[in-house]
Amino acid sequence: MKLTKYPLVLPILVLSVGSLAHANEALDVLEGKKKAEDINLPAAPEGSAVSAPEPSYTPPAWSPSPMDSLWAKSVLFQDDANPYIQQLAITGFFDFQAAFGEVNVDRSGSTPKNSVDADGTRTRRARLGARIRAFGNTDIEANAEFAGDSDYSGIERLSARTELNENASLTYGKFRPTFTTEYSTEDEFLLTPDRSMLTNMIAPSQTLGIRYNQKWKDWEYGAGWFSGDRDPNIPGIQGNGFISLNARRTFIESSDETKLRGVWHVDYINNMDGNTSDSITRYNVKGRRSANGNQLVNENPSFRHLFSTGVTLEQDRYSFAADFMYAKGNSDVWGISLTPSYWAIPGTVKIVARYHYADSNDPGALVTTMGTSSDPAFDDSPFYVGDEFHSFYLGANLHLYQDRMLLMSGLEYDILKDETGGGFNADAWIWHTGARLSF
Amino acid sequence: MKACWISLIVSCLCLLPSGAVTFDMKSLGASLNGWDNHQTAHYSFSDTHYQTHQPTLTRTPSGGMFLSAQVDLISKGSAAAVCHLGLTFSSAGVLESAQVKGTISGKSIDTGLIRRPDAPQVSAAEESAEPPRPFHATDELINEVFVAFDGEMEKALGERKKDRKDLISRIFTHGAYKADLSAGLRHNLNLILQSVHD
Repeated sequence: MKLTKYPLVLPILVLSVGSLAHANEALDVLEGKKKAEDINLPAAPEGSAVSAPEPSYTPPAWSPSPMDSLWAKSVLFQDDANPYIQQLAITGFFDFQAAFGEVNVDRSGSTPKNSVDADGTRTRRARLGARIRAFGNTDIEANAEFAGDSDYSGIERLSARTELNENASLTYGKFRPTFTTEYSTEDEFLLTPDRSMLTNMIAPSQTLGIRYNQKWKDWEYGAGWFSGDRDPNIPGIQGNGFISLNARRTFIESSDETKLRGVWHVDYINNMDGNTSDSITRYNVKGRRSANGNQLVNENPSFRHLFSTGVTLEQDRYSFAADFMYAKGNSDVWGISLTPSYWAIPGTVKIVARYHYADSNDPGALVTTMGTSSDPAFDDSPFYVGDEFHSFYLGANLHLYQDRMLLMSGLEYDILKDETGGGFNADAWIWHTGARLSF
Repeated sequence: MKACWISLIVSCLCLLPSGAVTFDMKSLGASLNGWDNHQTAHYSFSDTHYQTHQPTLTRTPSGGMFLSAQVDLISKGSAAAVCHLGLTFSSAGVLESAQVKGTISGKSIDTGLIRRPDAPQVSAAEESAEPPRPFHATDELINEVFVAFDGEMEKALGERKKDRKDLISRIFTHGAYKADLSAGLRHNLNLILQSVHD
């Protein structure tokens, strides 16, 4: 065959041989005959500048453990090819807390000072439930709560989350609205024995609602509507409810040796029912008297606007969470929580500290409990009222198995001021001990 | 014509495998403390316990042999590391290639296939200036395999340092030490080579 007769054959042959030559070099590298750095690559064409890849953050994994096979038994069924149900798992969470301490109430007027025993042991949470992955795009969760009194125990969660596409999802049913870092964290992963006083006071209850979530690059947005009804089992649709808006941005900063992952969030809730809402706030102390000074609470705190913003940072062994909260209604309250933590022994011992500050210009606007729980929705007897609150916590968590089985202990010092109220300031030293188990 | 037939017959004879390579399983077992009922040898040296499973042998199309052997490093009664030696021998019993794959504390390692190196080209000027170091292809192949293995172990152990270990993991799981594992694999490889005959 004369190559001159077919003018394109020669360049095609040259290109083919050239590409074969590169393919042969690649084969030699794979077989170990040559080293990759010894191969001369052709120059990149002009204008094909390659941009540096986006930094990514991979959280440290848990090392294999003899308990892995036991915890894996909670997954009762797994078949990704099944068109209806892809996974069925049972879930559970047990949280036992003990507190030892005393609340000292100052003298005011003719009322002498007194002490309230804060000792107690409680099953703070006892939940059993199930999680189902269905139709390839829907996660259904159902949890029953057995701890607490009849107003607290019942159906803690009954919700489904459907992925509309890769970046959008719809959550519906009875579930918890997104608000503050602590309230948005699942209870089994809280670093402290309980949430901060102001979070427990103003956060709305889990109720019937629907929420749309959208992801865009490193942002995530949410908008939802929730009912104003509060029922330990299945809430109904009551009043106008409340609207919840959330935004969250994840950012990663990387240096030569380490990476920092941060999540910034902002949440806003508009309570359209005002003081007729049963879900904001979650507890009822109206007509009852406080343990500090026997002060009568004429009205439950109610809030029409709730706002929170904060950031969480993780880097190597360190993490830090900061939150600012503000609620405006029949009284205005605000506060901050600062929670640093440090893995003293990575994966085994975590040191946790928290400073919490809450304030209000209105007398008796702050409502809290002290002892095994600071959540008046769980146990409101005894409760205390004031207008300024400081809490210092320092403790350690011993992780027996991942984040699923741990022991926790810590010391808390609380200061509750009642300057604009009856003057019944209180302070307390409380030692906390607890154990958590979840699957 | 007669010469044609003779040359044809000789050619056909040359095409037949000339003395297939053989492997002395008994000899290997004897040097590893003997095979038990489960075809596994248990032994220890340098205060470390190992077990080797009886190798699996398959013939290659060219008359050679592929040998696959599992070597476990035992710690606290269970296998801390499980490694597989994959060795390919020519029909003359020469080690042509080697590969080590394994799992250590949940991390996978793989040296990749290391082929028998060719003797280095030495020019007359270099040879006259300084006598070249004696080149033994099998030794060089083994060295390359364990350089790659050590590199993989460094990577695996380096990644493991970043993992979180809860209390139960720290108490009940075990570390596979790089030096122990490398020594055990090398010991097995040398004994296997001694048990290969052409």
